[in-house]
Amino acid sequence: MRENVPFEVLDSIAVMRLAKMRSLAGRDLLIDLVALFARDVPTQIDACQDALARGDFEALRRAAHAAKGNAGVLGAVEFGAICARIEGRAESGDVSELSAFVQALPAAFHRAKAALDLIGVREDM
Amino acid sequence: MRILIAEDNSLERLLLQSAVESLGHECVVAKDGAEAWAIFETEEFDVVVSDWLMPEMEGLELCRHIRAQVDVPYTYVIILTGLAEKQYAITGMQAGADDYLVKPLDIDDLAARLGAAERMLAVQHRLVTADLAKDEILSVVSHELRTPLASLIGFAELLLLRDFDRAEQKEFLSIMVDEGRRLAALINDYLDIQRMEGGHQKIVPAPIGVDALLRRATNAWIGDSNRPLVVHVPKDLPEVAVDVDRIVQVLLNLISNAHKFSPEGGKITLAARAVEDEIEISVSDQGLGLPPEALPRLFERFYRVDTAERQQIKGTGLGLAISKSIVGAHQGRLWAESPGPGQGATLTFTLPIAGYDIRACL
Repeated sequence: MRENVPFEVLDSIAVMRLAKMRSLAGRDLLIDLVALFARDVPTQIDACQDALARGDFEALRRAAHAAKGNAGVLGAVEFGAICARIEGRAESGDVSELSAFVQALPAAFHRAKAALDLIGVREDM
Repeated sequence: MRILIAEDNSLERLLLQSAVESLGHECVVAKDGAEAWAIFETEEFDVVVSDWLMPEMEGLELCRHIRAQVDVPYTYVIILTGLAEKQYAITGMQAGADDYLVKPLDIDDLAARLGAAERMLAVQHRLVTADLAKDEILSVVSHELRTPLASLIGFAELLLLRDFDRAEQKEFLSIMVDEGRRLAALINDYLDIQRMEGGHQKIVPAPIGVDALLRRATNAWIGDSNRPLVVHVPKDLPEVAVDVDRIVQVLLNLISNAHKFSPEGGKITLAARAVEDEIEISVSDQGLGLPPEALPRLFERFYRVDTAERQQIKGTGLGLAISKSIVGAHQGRLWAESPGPGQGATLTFTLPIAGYDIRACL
């Protein structure tokens, strides 16, 4: 049922890596990771938006870096790539498209969350 | 291994912790470098796995703090970096990290890194142990060997410098012979225990009847009639599989200890019995006995029960340590019991009963 995994949102290699972890630590780990993702990432998106509004690039870099790390764990490549762009631009002080990327975060997060929920209920993972 | 994780990101922390625990290691987690350092200062860890970019003390600083520690067991440090942040791995290893892991975490990658850590720590442990053994040899040479040597030289000088009558000369010479023998025994015992504990002494077990084994020891024993040796061995005991010379050495050691610490007329009893799948052999005396605090320390090298009445009784302080390693090499146990000072002591050891497989081989 490969077509059920939305590859554009989630990275297939990361999904396989998670499957490997799941068989080792039990099914709860993936559920817990997705729950942590859903709990912590919205706060980090808020922090990005606040930092951008204040023009605090260091805070923006830190918040984007943290969100990127969370995305990396679950293979949320689309969301992670946006975070990486924000982190890079905040670090170099390049403001081009910065607010467009920050605005894109919530929708990308919801796509990642929906894809992860799909995987979370699959028994063959 | 005991592993400390420093990671600010909650998902990565959970993932890492689950992976480490699923690999069978014990794990403590900290949510940043500062917390990790506070934990590290009070507890010991084999491995620290630390994220690089963290608020409140980054991986670099944590790594430097750990490496600045001296006189503590070596801690293996693994730095976690993102795929695009490999330069941090290099900076980290320059700051004293031993290895790095690239995120996102892969469990096989982690397992391989922890395997490398385990190998390195094992080598380090062997070196530390060898170093301690070397220190002990130095202290033995400087203290235990010098005491009889000083006495030998002292009496020899006395004999050279002054004239003594025949009786005094004989007395001094016999002290010199005793001290010389003690020195020889000490060197032999010390080499023996080094060989035993270094695993260089191979135990070659062969089946033998318990009564035959005990007879080998009693025949070799030169006692005196003032402290009679009584033997109690039931006839129907099964055979044991032992390295006979080594177990006879243990028996002679226990009997000679019992003899040394027995008053005149004190009976020494050598007994054996079967208990489940083992043979229990004990040597009891009616001698000085042992204070309770001495019981757990009795088998340490050079440990001596320090009481006035024992001052005149000499020994190398290694006999029981050697006996314990010989018995241990036979998968047996050796222990001491005593109702208290002045009430005698019993030293008992166990030997596994010879299995049919061993007999079939012979």
